[in-house]
Amino acid sequence: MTEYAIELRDVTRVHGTGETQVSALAGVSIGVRPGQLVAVMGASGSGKSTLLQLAGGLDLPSGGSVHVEGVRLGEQTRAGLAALRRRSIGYVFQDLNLIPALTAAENVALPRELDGVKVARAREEALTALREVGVEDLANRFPDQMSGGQQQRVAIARALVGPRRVLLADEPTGALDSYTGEAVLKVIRARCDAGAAGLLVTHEARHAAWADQIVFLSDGRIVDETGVAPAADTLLEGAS
Amino acid sequence: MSELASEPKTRGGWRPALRIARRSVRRHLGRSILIAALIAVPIAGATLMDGLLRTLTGPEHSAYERMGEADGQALVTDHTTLPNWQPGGDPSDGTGERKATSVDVERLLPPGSRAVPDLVFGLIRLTEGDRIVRADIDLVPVGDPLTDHIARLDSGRLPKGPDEVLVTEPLAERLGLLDGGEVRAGATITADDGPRVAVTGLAVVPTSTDWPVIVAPPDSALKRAPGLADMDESARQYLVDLPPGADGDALWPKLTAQGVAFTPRAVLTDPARYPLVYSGESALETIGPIALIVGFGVLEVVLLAGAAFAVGARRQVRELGLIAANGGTAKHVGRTVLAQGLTLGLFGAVGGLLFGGLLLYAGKPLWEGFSAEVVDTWRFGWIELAVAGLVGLLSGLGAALLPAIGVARMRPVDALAQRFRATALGARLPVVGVVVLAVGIAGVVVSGVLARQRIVEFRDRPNATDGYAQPDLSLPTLGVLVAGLVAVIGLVMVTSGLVATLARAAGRLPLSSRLAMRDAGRHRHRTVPAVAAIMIVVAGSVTLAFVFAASAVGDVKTTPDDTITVHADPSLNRQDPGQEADARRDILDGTRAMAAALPGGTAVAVPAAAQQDNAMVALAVDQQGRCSTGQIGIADPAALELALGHKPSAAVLADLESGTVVALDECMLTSGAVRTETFGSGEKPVELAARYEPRPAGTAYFELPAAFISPKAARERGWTARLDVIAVRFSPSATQDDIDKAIATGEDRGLQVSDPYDVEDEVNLANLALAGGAGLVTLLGVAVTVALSAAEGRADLATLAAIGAQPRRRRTLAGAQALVLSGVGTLLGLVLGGVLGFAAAPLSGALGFAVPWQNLAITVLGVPVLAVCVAMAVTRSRLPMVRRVE
Repeated sequence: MTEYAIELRDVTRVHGTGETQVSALAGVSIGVRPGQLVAVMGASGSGKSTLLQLAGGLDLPSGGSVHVEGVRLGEQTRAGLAALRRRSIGYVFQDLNLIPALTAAENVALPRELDGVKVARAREEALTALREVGVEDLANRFPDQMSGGQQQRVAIARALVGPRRVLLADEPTGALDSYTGEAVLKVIRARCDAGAAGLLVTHEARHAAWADQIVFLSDGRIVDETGVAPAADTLLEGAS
Repeated sequence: MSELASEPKTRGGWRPALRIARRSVRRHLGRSILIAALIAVPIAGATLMDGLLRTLTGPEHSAYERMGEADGQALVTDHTTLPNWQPGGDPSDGTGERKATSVDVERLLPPGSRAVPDLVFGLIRLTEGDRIVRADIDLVPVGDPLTDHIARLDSGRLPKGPDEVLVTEPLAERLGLLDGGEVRAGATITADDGPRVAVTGLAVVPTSTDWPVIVAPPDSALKRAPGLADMDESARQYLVDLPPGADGDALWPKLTAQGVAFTPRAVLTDPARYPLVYSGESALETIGPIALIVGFGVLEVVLLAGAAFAVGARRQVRELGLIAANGGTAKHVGRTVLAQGLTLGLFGAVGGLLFGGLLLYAGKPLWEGFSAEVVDTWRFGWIELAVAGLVGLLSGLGAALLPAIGVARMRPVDALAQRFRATALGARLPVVGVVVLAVGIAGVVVSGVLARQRIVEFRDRPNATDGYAQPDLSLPTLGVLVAGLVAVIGLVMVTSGLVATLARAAGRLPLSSRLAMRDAGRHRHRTVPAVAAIMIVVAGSVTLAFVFAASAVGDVKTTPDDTITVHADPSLNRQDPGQEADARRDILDGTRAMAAALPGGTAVAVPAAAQQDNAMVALAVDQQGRCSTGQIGIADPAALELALGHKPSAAVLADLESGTVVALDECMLTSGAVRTETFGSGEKPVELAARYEPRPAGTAYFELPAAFISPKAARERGWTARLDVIAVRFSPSATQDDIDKAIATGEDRGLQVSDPYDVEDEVNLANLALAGGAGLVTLLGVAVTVALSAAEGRADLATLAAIGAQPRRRRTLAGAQALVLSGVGTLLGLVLGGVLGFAAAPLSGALGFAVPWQNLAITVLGVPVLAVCVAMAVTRSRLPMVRRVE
């Protein structure tokens, strides 16, 4: 069994055919261990979001392979991929992460309920996850009754509810002010420190500074990567 | 990890789906109400119709109408036994003789039974000043619970003796007996040549509230009135209330031994149990047409609500993407949309049932007025209502089904990006649709041709007018239904491609039209259902219009233009034999008065040839069984002109003079002769020389003779002239008011008058109603889709506003969208309706074919124009200035 929780091996992703063909990713390999947070940086159109979608099984690669907790995603059926997303992989998007018709607790409990877990147990797990990100008191609020930062914390709680230990975050602070954004990143860092494997897409260096490793993408290729990022506090101090 | 791969089965999902659905209904209240209302309206209509039909028709109603709350009806005959009688049989077939009035029926019934004399009724002529008023008279003990269905006291008091009666409000109004809504003190009525009795109050006849009726005790003095005095008393009928536990089915065989025919209530409520009782149409005959109408109604709802669901699902696609991103399978995603269909279907079904019930209860005075009946309690078919509710629920699910399948098939990444891709199936659908449409149309045409062939073969067979035989059209009917459905499916499949083609061809159109066409093409998920809904309803309307038009070709005028017919048989006007001379005088005076009340009015007597001894009318008979029998008239010039529609030619008059019969139906002639019979006279049929003189095209005056003979020739045959009909002719300038007054004048003089009847008016009205129905559904479809387009296209409208579009642009855009939807839907509907109309017309027995131009003109022009006007009128002109409001 591989030591990586998330592993992309020589992954390519081509969109379209003929003249409209675009290569979004070309031979990208990345590995994320449990407890590690890897940041992916790059300009718009560099392939950051495609990489995250492939890592989460939302999309399948044109070449290469993607493994999550030892499972090769290309060998899974659509239902198998869905089961993987229910039990292993958690997503946090830039905004509009929550289903408006569900309360915070119900949003967090959703993957568990979809997995057939009884309502009471799913809610209990959701409350635990909310407590871990510090918004347990918002459990019964609907998304439109929460601020953007609170919504992102709830999304992080959902991403790591129950047995989920893989966190994929696509510009999670993009729609937040800097103070709230830092608070959200602290939560992500804390969850990774607690054992989760995290893959963070961002285009801001001060956010990438929270990661253990930074990968730079350009035109679908890895053009640079740092081994281990400097301590976040050091970077933040430098920025200020 | 192996757990993940080995257990992909979808678990859970309905609970969160239903939770999301419930809350989404509240969050998107406008759209939810629209969909629920679309589902609720037909359910409410079904509930209303069920309540009305169950209460005002059907077995329970028949039982109430005939025996109220009684357990049965006992007919005491003048026989001592009825050895072979059973319910539904003829009670006159018995042995032994006795007076029915001498039997104490309660002694023959189980102990604890009660019997009250049942209704005895007749017709009575009342005099009011110089007027004659006809009224029914019911001789019945009012006030007894067993006679409550026959008559009830409404106001005043019950009659205390034979010289007192109650009258119904219509009769009291007609006789001027009312004072402040109640019978005035000292009011009386007088029978023509009979006794005078006091009126003590108003009665209501629960099953016929608009009829002029006298309600009198069984021993009323009015029984001495002419026509009632010789009432048949050979049998006497009673309403029977049996003690609890008594079985009517066990009782009737015992009572036949006593000469009593006992009809248990179950004979009416459950007729199938009794072999001699007609139990009505088969379930298939009743359910078939209802199922067809309900089926198409549900299809309309599914299409219109489906468009709203499709838009809803698109706007919700990001949420659905989130469900997929959090581990929701395609089934989970689909269920989330289906759950909304289920929720709204439930709301629609329950709301429809409640609204329908509310309409029934709140509109009670209206329904009572229409039916002329008193409704004590509403009856419902609970199974039917449960089915209606279930159909509503399934309509919601059906409407959500295609959008659910669509979003479930989306890749999660597309759903999250709100990106909609064209599918390969969608691209191939119109091509497949053309093939399916061609097969459907071919099937419809072949079925129509087959139906025509079968009718022609049936009509050409020998003795075609014998009996009640009908051509067997079951195969062509099935063919039209199945092939019609296939054609509808084909057209729906083609619609998508047609809309896309129109959108591509819109390049040179003005801006609003171009935008509308392109919007329709880009958003086919909502355009196609709406166009299909309009197409189906227009096709249905046009099909029926073709059927009506074809039937109208075969319809004939039964009364000459500008003519009222009066039945001049004296025996109809006076029940008392020996008063025929007086009756004849009354009739002639009455018709003269009618003629005087009309501009250009003249009375034309139409005498018929009759056997002198027994007054049997001579009839001309078709020997080959090709046409109906008709009376032979005496060739009075005015009567002949009336029947021919023009002055008779010199040749006709010369032939009549020479003793030749003039037949107005060619089919009555065989080898230049017409066969005449006087049924019941014992006289042998005689063949007389005859000639054919055509009556006006499209006429068959049933009340006028079908052949004429000169007075001289009739005398030589031993026939006399009998006055059967007097025609009151008037100028075409007479208004409906003039005609109504003349009819009232005749009726006040005791005449039996036929209203002039115009078939054309009825067909025109039906065409208007059909076009109106099509227009209504078109408006609904257009309204739903234009509103959805406005909601979905907010961003586009905001862009228009941002680049300086004038506010009226939004209105013209809405109008253009309405024109695209209603125009395409109407044109497709016309094509389909025309083909179906060709095939369906012969199924109604009509071989003729006519184009219903009136309906087509209203449908083609009126419906789209109306849709455009309404869409423009109800659209706000202000353009939204923000791109996102959520």
